[in-house]
Amino acid sequence: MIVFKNVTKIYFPNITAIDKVSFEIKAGEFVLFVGRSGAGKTTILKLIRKEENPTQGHIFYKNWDYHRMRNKEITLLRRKIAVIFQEFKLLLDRTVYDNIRLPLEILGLSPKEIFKKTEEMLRLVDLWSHKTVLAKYLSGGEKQRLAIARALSVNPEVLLADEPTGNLDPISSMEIVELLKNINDQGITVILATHHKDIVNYLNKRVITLHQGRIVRDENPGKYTLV
Amino acid sequence: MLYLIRIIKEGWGIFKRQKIITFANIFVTFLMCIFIFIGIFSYYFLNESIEYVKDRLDFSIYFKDEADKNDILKLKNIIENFQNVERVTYVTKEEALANFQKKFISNPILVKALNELKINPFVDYIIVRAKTPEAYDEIANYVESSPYRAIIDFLTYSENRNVILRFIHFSNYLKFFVAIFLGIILLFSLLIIFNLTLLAIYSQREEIEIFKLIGASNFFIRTPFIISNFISSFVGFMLAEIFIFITLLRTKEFWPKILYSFNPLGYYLENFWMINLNLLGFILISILISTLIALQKYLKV
Repeated sequence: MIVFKNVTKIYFPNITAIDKVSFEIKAGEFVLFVGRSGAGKTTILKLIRKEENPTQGHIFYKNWDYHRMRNKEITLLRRKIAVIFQEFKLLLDRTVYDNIRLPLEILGLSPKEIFKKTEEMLRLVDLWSHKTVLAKYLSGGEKQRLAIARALSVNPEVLLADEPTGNLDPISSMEIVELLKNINDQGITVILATHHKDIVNYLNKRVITLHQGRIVRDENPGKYTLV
Repeated sequence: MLYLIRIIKEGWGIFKRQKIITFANIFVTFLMCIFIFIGIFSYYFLNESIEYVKDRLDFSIYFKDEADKNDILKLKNIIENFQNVERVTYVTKEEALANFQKKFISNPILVKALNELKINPFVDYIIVRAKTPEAYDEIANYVESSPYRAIIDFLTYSENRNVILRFIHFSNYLKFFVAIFLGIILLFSLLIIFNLTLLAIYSQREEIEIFKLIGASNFFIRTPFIISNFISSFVGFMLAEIFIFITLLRTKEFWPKILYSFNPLGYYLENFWMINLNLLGFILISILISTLIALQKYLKV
């Protein structure tokens, strides 16, 4: 589904973020990228969403070759690959409901469909009762749950999670991890970048370890050891 | 259609949420319109002043009593064919007398004195009106050296000719500077609109990033900003219109005291569509261009 072939990304002036990275992620997999800050986890997620272009190498998503994509296809790709962040990236001065409504409006859904989908998503993350609350008044865990609901509202095939528990307390973190697990169980590919040992051990999924921009380990479930 | 309605709603949302930027936009557009109106009315005032002074620059040729009417008409024809001559009016001595009587009908002493004369004291004359003051010199030079000089009694070519000519030259320079002033106002307005748009977009950069994140097209991101700016500028424009209209209405008695033909309210109403459509067009195009340029940075795929 997602293929990286000898991908290198060098930022100006000469900072190598990832170096000759190759891997393949199959549909429905749950993959964790681990490594210290600056190891290249976020760069890989940005490359997957084509927010950055590789300096060398090739990236494929299904039949799309990233080198040959047009702007319209990039927009479509980003609708198929949703993302959540440590800093949530919500529209804070809008209500919980509006944060879900907006992407659905962009997709061109009718008001009836929007209402139905928004209710479904907010119930999934247990925020339906907060639908009229401004996003800025939510707690950290609630904000992240809202971000997940928004990401899922557009029916993505892949969910990228870039340190989603970085700003959360341990209980909220485990709630989010549990939610991601449930999402994966529904068939959505989940790619999680984290440096939390507890989460990695708890999930027991495929782990790709990065160190200074290179893959140092790619381990199947149950075999992960910290660098 | 639904998509467009949603974009317009988003634009309205930005207009409502970004209170400080919206207020700044309205205020700047208001000031800009006021300055442009001042520029337009100054230009109009100068034009009227020049016309007024030009009217004072009379050029008439008075003929001797025995002058043949055919010769006078021939000379009139020649002068009419001069470049920059607007019109030449021939007034016979009978018409001159009638005009005088009409003009001073309310002055019995003058009418009585005229009647006691028992003759018509007026002579035939022609009044020349040129498009440029310089043309009078040319006509005067011709008349002085022409064969028709013999039938001419005298020429009136205002004694304060030099003063008037200087004033006209000065006014023309002033008109030029007013035009430059207007140009500078427009340029500054453009820069201010551009910077305000930049500021609005900068303060919304996170929102733009989120819009991109959730898969919004550039059109969906860009258009609400344009709509929001259009709304605030339109409000500023309308406020300026109301302010200008009320000011002109309240001062309509005052302006003719300075210059009898200066009637800014009449001028404004007469040229209402021309002035306002151009002004509104300028504002809207400026906003469109500045929004497109300012957003470019944030819309790179």
